[in-house]
Amino acid sequence: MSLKTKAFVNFYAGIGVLEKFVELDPWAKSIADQHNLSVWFNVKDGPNGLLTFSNGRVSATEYSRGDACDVRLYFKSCELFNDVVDGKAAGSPLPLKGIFKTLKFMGKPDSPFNVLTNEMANIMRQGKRCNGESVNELSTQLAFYAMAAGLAQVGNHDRIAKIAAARIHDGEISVEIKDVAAATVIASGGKLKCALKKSENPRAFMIFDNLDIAGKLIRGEVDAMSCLSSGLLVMKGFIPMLDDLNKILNIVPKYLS
Amino acid sequence: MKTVYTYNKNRELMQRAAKVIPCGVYGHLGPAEGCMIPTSAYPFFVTKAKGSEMWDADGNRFIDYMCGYGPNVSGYCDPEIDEAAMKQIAIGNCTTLPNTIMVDFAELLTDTVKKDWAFFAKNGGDVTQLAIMTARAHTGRKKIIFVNGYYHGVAPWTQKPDSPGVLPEDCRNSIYIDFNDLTQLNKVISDQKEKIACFIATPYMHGNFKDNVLPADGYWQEVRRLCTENGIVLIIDDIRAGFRLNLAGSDAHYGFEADLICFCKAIANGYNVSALCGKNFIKPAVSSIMYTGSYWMSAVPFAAGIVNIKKLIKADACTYFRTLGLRLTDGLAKIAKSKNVNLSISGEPAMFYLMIKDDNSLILHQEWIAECVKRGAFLTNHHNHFINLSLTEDLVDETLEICDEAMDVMIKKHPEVYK
Repeated sequence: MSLKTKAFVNFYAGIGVLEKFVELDPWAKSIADQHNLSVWFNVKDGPNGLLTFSNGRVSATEYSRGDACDVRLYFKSCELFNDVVDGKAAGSPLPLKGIFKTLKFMGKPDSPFNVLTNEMANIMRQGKRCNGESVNELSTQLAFYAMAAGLAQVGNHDRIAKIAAARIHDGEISVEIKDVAAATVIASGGKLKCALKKSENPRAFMIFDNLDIAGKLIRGEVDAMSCLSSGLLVMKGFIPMLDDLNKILNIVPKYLS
Repeated sequence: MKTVYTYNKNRELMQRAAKVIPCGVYGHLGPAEGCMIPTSAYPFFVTKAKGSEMWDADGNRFIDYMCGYGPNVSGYCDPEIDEAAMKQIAIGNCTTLPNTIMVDFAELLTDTVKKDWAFFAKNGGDVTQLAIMTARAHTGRKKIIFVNGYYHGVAPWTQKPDSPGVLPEDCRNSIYIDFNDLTQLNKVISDQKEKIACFIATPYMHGNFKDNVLPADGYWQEVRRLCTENGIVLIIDDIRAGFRLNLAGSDAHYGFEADLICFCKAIANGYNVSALCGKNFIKPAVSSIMYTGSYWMSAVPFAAGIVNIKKLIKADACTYFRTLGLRLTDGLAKIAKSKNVNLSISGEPAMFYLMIKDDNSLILHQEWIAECVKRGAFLTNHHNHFINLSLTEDLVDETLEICDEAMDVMIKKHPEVYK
């Protein structure tokens, strides 16, 4: 497993799924509503991402020079960033900007950012809130979005997955849980992006029949080929795009653990 | 109006199968390989087959243009071929020493395909693997030139390093170039001449999800010249096209001679045998390789193969395949044109490939084919099809009626495209 790929997955598929958590969960939205700020995650040799809280919405995007930010966190390595995200870091990032905002927003266990991410991680990993309430559907939805976001990052950075990504024809792939959730993987010039919303112009579709089967597939309890045979996973459109996407999908779980 | 099929028993069977067989039906006969879209339009299991027709678990009848993905070349359950097989079963099949009929079959096969020897195995992948090993043994070189979009089986060396279970090391000696591109071929030979053991390709590009491509004028002759001059073994994978274009092999069809040629699907009309055939100069190399399998010298497929090949010769089968293929594809082209549908028909008529090109997702094509299947014409979305000797003009005409009605159904669903 590549630490660099893991760092990209951690930012866009881990932290980035806050976008959907805040959208889907009223409790999370109530916290997001109270904060308008942007945090630049500046990871050496890794993701250079901007996490923005604005008017009750969250987005994780690539940082571009000149983007405004309230907090800039510098991580001296992908390994450190990954350890911080996984909650096992011995060191800490260097706040290069907004030290007081950093402390207030994410400096302590009960800071808003940490409360949000801890709750989300608990839901995704255990299907339960920190207070023990069971939220399986939300858990699967968030895992689905993390998988979709992770697909793009693994395709762009993992040594083997890059081979498959390079072959994917340009266009949009709609990845859906029927009537529940949808994400778009956008292929262009052998690079992948993910938008956590329904595709407007898909060339290919990968549609899980229901939340339960999506959850089982994400957790590796069933395989895509068997689901296709049983009709619980529908593929249509320009299938070569999906063949290559499936090869990346096989690699994603090792980065999402 | 044709009856629209339902598949309740097929679905029940698939549920049973999925419990005890990976994917329910794995591999190219299964619904997961992208040639049966949507899977809801397709049956999964047959109960019987005869000639060009098959009946599924729900009793639905299909005119079958996949022919078992190639092996059905003389017709399902052909009485003469089956009789020969049954007679051989009665006198011995998988025995301690090979039955004498193996020699008879080898003589007939090599005489038919104009090669000096035949090495028998069971599946196409067995003999493409042997062809590569033979080329390496003969040349002492490692590298293999492939044509992009190729399919030569499922062994790790035939796959890409991102396929599950395949190592990057398995593909380290692979060189990829485009079909019909002599500039690329010249360049790789110029760059790596001393390392290249072989060039392996199908006689024309009959790949999936794109128009099939015939060789350009003079292409194979120039490939032959370059291989000869540079000590590269020229391998033709004729597993799919063999005995469909020319009974002497597809190299003969396109006017050149391969060093090694791989046959499988149509040799014995569904009885399981494959063969690597080759020239004398490379016989010592293949003879030096330890390569064998428990059932590779079983006699029943040899008996079936002898009758099958004689039957194909007697019927001038390849001319018949082309004639029937053209009857069908010309009819389809006419139907599509009358409805302003951009239907592309490519490849050889005996192995025609279809693709509606009115969208960039292929969904219109998938929907049309699905409606054909549900009315009894068994086609797949993204694979070439096959004509066999038992197909009749009446069956072709019935197929055209089905495809016509199915196209109307597809068009009606898409007023945004077909105004």
